[in-house]
Amino acid sequence: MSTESTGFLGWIDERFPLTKVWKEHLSEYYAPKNFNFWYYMGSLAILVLVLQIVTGLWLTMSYKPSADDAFASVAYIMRDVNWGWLLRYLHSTGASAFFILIYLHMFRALLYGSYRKPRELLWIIGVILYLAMMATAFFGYLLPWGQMSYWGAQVIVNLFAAVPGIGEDLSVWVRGDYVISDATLNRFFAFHFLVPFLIAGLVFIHIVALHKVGSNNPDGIEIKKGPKGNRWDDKAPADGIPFHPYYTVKDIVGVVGFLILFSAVVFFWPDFGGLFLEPPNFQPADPLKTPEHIAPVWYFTPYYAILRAVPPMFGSQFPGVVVMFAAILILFFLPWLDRSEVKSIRYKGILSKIAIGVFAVTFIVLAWLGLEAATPAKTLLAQIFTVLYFLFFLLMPIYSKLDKTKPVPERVTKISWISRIKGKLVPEKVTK
Amino acid sequence: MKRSIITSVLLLAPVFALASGGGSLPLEEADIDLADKESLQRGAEYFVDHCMGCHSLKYMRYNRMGEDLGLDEVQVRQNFIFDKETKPGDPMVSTMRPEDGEKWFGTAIPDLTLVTRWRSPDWVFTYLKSFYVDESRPYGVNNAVFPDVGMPHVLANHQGLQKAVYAEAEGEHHGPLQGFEPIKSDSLSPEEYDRMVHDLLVQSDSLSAKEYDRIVRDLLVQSDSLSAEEYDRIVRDLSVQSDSLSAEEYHRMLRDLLVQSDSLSAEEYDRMLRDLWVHLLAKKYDRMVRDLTNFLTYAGEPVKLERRQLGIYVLLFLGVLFVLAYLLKKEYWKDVH
Repeated sequence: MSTESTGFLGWIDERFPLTKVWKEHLSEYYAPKNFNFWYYMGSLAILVLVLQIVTGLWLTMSYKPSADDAFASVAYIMRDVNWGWLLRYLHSTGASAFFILIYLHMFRALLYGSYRKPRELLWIIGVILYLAMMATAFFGYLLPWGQMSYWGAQVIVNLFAAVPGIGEDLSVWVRGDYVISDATLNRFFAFHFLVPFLIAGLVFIHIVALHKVGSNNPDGIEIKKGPKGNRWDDKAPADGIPFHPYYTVKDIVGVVGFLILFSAVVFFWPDFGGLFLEPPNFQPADPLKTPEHIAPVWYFTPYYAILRAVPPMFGSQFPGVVVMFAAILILFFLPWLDRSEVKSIRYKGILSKIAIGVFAVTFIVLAWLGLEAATPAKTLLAQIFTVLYFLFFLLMPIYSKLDKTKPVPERVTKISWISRIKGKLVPEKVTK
Repeated sequence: MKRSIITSVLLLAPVFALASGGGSLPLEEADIDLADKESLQRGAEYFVDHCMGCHSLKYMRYNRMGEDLGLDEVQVRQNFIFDKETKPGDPMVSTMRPEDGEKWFGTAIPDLTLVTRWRSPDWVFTYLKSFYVDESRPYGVNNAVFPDVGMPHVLANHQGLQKAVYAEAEGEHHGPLQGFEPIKSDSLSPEEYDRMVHDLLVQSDSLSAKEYDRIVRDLLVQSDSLSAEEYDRIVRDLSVQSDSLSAEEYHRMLRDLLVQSDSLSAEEYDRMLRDLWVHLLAKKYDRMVRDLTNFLTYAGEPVKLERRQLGIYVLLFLGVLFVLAYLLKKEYWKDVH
């Protein structure tokens, strides 16, 4: 910050802190140098958010949000609009990719304790982002006006009807009608268009919060509290490197790698075996014909499995709805549930490792169960895994405290994942 | 006389598929090829001739189809558009009024543009092959893939009728459906016989005299009716002429020769011929249905081939970019220890 900008940049800088922002958030933002594979997910999620907003905007130019025309307008986009098929496949694949990335991003936080002090608020903003994503995905899924769009929305909105007392009125208020109809489609379209911009705003806040507290890292060490001084700045953390250019060039590798996988799906497998585009959704919505088997899109199915696992009580589905929302809202409390002395799974003991492993399996099994038609055996399985899901959180204060932790090194480590698998836990090189 | 020649049918590819246990028939693989333009053109013609009386492809335009299938506008107008009002840029909509369809068939007639996407190509292929006689239904046929479907078997002229074959009875009810068997009467009238010979031997894409000779020889040898040497001896003089005879002439003379030589009776010969006919019909019908399925799969996503082609270029580009990006990263990170 020693040299003042001159010329045009100087003119700008006197009126807007352009150089200052650039330095604070990119060229002089010091990120830990030991980020691994998991740390690509955040920047990739931003990429997909931009992709969704841009493709969504262009789809809007040809889409008609009306019960009579919506389905046909999607067919029109796929056939008659120049590159319409590509926009639509990018958008539909992007929705699933967004959730895959965010699930990995959240799992990274679980692995390395990125939700813990001082990053509680960062985590909470993240969970709000996740909720906003779920909302906009849900609104968006109605828009193609296929059978699954229609009946999926019908099932979810009916959840509101389970609220005691006001349920019926509430669900009518949400739908704007007694059934999912043109009125519902219009309001869902309006929200589907709006919420992504709120998400973009929240992402900005998420990053402001991140840059306030600094990035966590796979060792769960606070580099700001470690020794000072690196090649660029005497006062900067010794284990930090400037985000730009180091992580910008690294993230480009991640972006291209991601785009390879993403394009493979878009160009060769856009249905993704019926997971990303469900076959019943190629049939126009028919309010008189209920499909044999209704399942939400894959990214909602863990919660759908939890919903179905709870039996109706007192003739009401409400308990299931409560448990389902609790499964999402419990994420907010995570920062205060973890009582371990260390942040990263690398230095946590066997109890935490088992817990997080079981939790990962639980989430995947629930996702699978939510896609399947309910049978007594599968409902039982869903009940068992629902209990496991909650135990991961509710028992965390106990097992994370009991767990034997390993000593945390003072400086970040660089151990390749290969030697980590081989069991060489001695750092190859602890930086000077 | 040795074993019945009917067993010879066993050497022909099985006419009907047997289910591998279980209740419902598994779907047969449609094995379509979107790059096969001739198949797509035939499929489009079959669709317009046999399906479009009732079903529409309302998201498919005639001219787009023509463009993708390699047909010019004149060809499209001549072969696919039958009324003066319709223009090549119009969607392929059936002239049947929806309310009539509902009245006649008891249900709204579905648009088929996306049928291979909400069903699947294999489903459509198997469905079109799975009509069987069921007198309890309004149109006398039912379908194993779509039970109690309202649609009649519009392609019955091409497939012939077939009956369902069930597993052993379990109590009062018959067992699960195992497959189909063509319905054939035991004796053919002279007219039917002639039609069969005509279908089998004369129609354009059927057999030449030489091919016919080979097939009959194989059938007889395999069924132990004759040894190869015996056959060759009997028909030696005839075989020499095979190039100059039409298949039909060849058939008459071959039949007489074999009957005269006491190798088999005229009835046995005709039965063999009929089995062969049934088999060839089934093969022809398979091809027809495959063409239709191919066309409907194309109609479900006209851009599919283009999408995959473009995908290859995109992946090649990204592959190169990945190497460059990785090298750039490596260069920058040289000084991070």
